[in-house]
Amino acid sequence: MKKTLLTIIATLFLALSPSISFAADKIDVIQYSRAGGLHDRMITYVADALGDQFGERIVVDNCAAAIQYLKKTRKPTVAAMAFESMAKQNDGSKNACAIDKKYFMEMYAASPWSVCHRSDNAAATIDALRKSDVRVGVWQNGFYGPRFIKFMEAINPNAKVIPYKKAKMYRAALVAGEITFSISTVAKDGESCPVVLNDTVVGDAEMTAADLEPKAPYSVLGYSYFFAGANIKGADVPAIVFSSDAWKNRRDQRYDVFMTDLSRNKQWKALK
Amino acid sequence: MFGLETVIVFLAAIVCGTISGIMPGVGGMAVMLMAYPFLIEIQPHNILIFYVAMVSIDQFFGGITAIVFGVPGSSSAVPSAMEGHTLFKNGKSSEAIMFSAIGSWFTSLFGVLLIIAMIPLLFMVYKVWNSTVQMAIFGFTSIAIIWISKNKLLVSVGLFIFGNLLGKVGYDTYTNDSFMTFDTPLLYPGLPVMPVVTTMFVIPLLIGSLRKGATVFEFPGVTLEGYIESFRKIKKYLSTLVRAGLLGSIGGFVPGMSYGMSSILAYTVEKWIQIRKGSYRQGKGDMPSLIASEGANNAGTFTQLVPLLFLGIPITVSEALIYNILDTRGYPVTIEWFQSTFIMIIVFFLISATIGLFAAGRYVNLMRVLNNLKIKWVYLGVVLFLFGAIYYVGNQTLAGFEHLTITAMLLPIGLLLYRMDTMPLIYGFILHDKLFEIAIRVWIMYT
Repeated sequence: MKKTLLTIIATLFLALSPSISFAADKIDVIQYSRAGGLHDRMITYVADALGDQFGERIVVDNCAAAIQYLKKTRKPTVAAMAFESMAKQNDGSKNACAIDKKYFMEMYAASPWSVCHRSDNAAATIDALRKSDVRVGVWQNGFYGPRFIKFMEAINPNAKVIPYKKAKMYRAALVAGEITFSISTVAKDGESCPVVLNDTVVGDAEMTAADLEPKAPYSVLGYSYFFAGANIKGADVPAIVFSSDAWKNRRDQRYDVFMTDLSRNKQWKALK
Repeated sequence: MFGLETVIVFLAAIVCGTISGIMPGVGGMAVMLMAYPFLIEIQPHNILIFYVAMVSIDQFFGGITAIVFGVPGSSSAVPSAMEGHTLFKNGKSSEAIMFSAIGSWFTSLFGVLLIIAMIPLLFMVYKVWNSTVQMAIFGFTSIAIIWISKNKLLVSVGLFIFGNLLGKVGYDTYTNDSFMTFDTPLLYPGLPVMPVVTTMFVIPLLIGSLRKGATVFEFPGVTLEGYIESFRKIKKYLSTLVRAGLLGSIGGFVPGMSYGMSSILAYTVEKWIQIRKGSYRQGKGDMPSLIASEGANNAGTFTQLVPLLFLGIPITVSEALIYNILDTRGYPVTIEWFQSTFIMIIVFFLISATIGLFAAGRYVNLMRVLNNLKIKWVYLGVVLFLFGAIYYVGNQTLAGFEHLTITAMLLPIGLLLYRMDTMPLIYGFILHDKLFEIAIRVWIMYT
């Protein structure tokens, strides 16, 4: 009985101590956002690109928990952090998701935002976007939310900007007809994105936001990720990702590498 | 289409569902993540079989842990822990387990039949599922859960607000603000669910329970004869089953609600009905309310698949993971695929529900080893186990001591609440995010 108990305790101890299963050449990847979303796909590309070097997926509740994990782990770990996590909080204090320079690796990927609608919605015209009492669904985010509101106020003062915390919610709202347009970086099946918030027309867009309204603020606005990591020695994770088939065949082709022509220091300055 | 892989997948799902049901805090999502390397290798229809079987089994086993030990494995099992464990303490353990299991089986079937009947109308349902309707349901549930609580109205309102405040602690990316973090990195990620549910719900419930009812653990167990007898008697709860099946099914397939919420809604409605009938006895445990909560859970486990398969919209994180796997592997989630997999999913769902019904009965009989033990030692064991689970879950993200520290900070408050019904607090904590989000949206739409 005593032996059995000791075995159980030893097994539990081993199970409770992640550091014991340390494998020096494996790189863990942090997931801080919901499964199935864009962030999940971005880190899946990293995990797939790492191949045999991939350790495990560390799932945390949010970006603040991801930063805490990066600070504490002794294992090689990489994360794809969102650009806005470096922005100051509304009260001017440091963002709980901001990283120190030593964790910054390199820029990852970016995509411009677009104004999208259901392809089968005949009422979702450019004219309606400019003049009608339309509802536009946007991502409820402390950084992007206010920018979307200002952008839409310039495009169409009659439009109402409706915030949703998750993309799946405004996709369902588009289907339900609760909103006519959404502002998104990735169009799903059955959606079209005629206006892109970029300096040039990309994807299936018909025009840029500046074409629609030259005076609109934030008419060039994108969503972007950068690589953050800890304890990574001897592996150029960004290079591994960008040269991998996982990246080349990514579903989110609108997301592409950016600022790669700049040095790490200059990228960091841009991020700050 | 079916082969050895399907059989292995199905058996693996039974094991995984059992683990996630029995172990509080582990949850279906954690098990799905553990099974991820296995899931990405198997055929797409087997991924769905794995999911429906695992979730179904999880519900049966989770209900038993809630009834026997008063420990909710997930937020949706909070009402079951409350009513079920009170029934357990009042000598109705076997009845509670068998009726809730059989009721869950019936509502599983109800969910399947309802979806089959509604296929031609599904698009219409999604058309009316907008933020206003969501706000009405969430608002009604919030008010009802406060109203039917055994506390004085003001106390329940206070607990509800307190729960919302606890949920708000941490850095919020949606508002770009920190709330009550006191610039402490420990609190930036917010308060984890397990420490809050353990200290604010389980511990007050167990302390309150210690003060009344049996002082030794007594569980006669369940038998096949008992199941057959309960099958015969279940018809007296027919109206409860229909209500729970309907609310659970609807809650399952509408985005933003999920079967966890529908379980709370079904419980609230049933308790309200029983109070109005005068048959609800405070502190004694209520069988219809337990059956409603457990039944709604199970009805929703199947119907929640509909938006994923029908519209390609995952409405739970586990589904999002499945969607991601299917998407990554290039399997389009379309209506055609939905139709081709529908019958197969129904068959495996009903098989797993039937296995869950009887396997859970076998498992629960193992609890008889605790018979005649003083109940305070059983509770002490439960609490120590939960502290271990809190550490373990936290330590997966190197935050085990942080989670225990948060537990220690909340514990004194939980101890003060042992005379109260803390459901409004837990409800406020779990759903504050969704409540505020929808409320803001509706406010913007109508102003």
